Amino acid sequence: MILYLVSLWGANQTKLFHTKSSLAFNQLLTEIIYYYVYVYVYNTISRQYCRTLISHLRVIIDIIILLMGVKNTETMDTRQIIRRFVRENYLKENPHNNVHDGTSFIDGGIIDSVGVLELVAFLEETFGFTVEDDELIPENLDSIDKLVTYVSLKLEVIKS
Amino acid sequence: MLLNEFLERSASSYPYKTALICHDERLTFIEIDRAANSLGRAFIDQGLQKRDRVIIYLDNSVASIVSIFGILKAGGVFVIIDPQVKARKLNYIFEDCQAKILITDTAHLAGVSEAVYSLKTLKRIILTDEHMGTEVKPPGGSLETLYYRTILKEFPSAHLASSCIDVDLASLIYTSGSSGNPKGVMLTHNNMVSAANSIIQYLENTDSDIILNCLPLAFDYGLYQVLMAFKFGGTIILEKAFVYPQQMINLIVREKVTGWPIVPMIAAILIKLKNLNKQNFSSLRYITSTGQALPSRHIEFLRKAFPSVKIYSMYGLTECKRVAYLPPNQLEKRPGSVGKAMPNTEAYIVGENGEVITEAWRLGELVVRGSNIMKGYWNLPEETAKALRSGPYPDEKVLHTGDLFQQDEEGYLYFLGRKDDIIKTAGHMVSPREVENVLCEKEDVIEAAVISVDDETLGNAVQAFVHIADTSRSTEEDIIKFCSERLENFAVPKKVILCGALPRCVTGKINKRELLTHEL
Repeated sequence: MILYLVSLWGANQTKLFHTKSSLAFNQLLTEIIYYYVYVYVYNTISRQYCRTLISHLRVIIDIIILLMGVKNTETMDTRQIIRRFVRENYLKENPHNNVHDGTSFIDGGIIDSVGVLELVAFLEETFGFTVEDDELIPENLDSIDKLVTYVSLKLEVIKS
Repeated sequence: MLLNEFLERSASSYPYKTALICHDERLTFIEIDRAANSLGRAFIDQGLQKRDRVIIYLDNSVASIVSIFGILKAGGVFVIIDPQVKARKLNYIFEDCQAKILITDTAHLAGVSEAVYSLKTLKRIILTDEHMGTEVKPPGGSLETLYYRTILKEFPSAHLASSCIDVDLASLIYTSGSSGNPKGVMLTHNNMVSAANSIIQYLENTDSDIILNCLPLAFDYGLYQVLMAFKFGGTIILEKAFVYPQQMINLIVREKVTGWPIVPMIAAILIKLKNLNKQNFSSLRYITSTGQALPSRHIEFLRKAFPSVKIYSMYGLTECKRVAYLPPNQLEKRPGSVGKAMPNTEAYIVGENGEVITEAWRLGELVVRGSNIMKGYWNLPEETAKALRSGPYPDEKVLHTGDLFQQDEEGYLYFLGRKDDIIKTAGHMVSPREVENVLCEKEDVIEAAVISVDDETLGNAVQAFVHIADTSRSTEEDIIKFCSERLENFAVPKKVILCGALPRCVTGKINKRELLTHEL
């Protein structure tokens, strides 16, 4: 069992399961491994109970694997990744700037032309698609909400 | 002629022609003139007197344009501050120019309200958006808030005759000073009208021109786009900023733009686009560039990407707006030149003892004569005396630009850098501009800035900050090697620092002072 988890974890690390959910998924796997080791070593609960628990978890993991790549999970992660990028790159000098997911980057004075180049490089590198020239418009890029929609659409196009 | 007459004359010659396009708003000359009349009356009603300063702290918008002309009609002096300017600097400018009225909107006021409400000289705030419910309450209670839209409804819009004559001040334009505090450049109606007329003359503008302005109005280059379009009866498309390249390209195509003023940074971004040559730019007649010299790689790119468009490389400073432009037909022959003096302006180079330099390629400071030269720096008599000095004729002052220039055999001017920026290293003089040009020739370099740092052996050493493309694998050594193949040994940067985007001033110029103090 632990071998199974570790190999899954390793595969994920090496990006065999390379999707946007991999970060959160790996976090979960790591915790499960820790938990297993913990109960195994300290034997705080019976080994039988532990086996049952793990077999249940195994089923759950299988379901998650099936669900990986399903839009719902992706959107959540995409939003977090984009939020973090915006926060770390554009709001450093202006920590009081009250930016919501719907705030326009232009109206809020959050992004400039160089900032857009950085944003494009980030999108291409993180999500593995190319941002075309004619996609460099505010309708796609001018708020966290718009970015999430745009990225989801691009990823869907790649998949299909 | 007064600056406000630019609008008033067009409002009588082309009343129902579209003067201004700003997002989904389209205004005719007569609409803008009427709104400015109402606003001007409100200023007078609030006690604004001739030469009183009014600060406009707004994004590029219809309200900011109407405000400029409303202030002028009331006899006031407009001061446009970029909304990116933070509370501390805004406070300094307020204290310096003692403005009585501030025009802003709720969002921008919120960021600076503490600084604003502590001011003693400020009497009124005019909010351009309607947020009656969320009114910011001043602590002292003496600061009355008026609403732009209410003013336009309540005050008559009939012609308002200004009490000014053309030697009166029209604007203070704040520009970064060497001490770190901004300096207010004092410009009269005559200074501004004169500069606008010269530029219109060499750009051959007509009432069929449609200009796309994505530069801030706090930057004189952006401001003059509006003033000039109003003068020649053209149409101005006002955008907040150049942020999303394709949006600007779509605008050019859709609105059949004929003139597009850019800064070198915009050219640097256009270079990165893949499909630029597939766009239909047939309406575009000219592109102008100033603010900083265009690197030769960018010039080459622009010429290829816009083969039938006239490209004007220009040079100027806020103190006189514009000095020189290179006729587009000379661009291929002398890409590094900013040309010759514009109409109704004289420019020449002087040596260390004030002697006029006529021989080619000798370095000296550029001096300018013309009716476009400022009256001085607001409240700074010493700085003014350094910039405005007696010239060849006893009855006038000429402008010492503080910029180092050379000229070629035919008198075309070449900008080499700020006088204060020249790096003296190991007994040699190095122009940072020259090194930056070489750096920008490297394909993966987006922008570069060269500064002088203390060095034990050399006295000063050349240090370069280089913003390279994310995809690039160049190392510091690669860049030094690239320079050493193209520059004299003493001019090759001793240290290269690879970094992200370089810090910039509002005008789009690289902020070198920040580079000196900040570790990137």
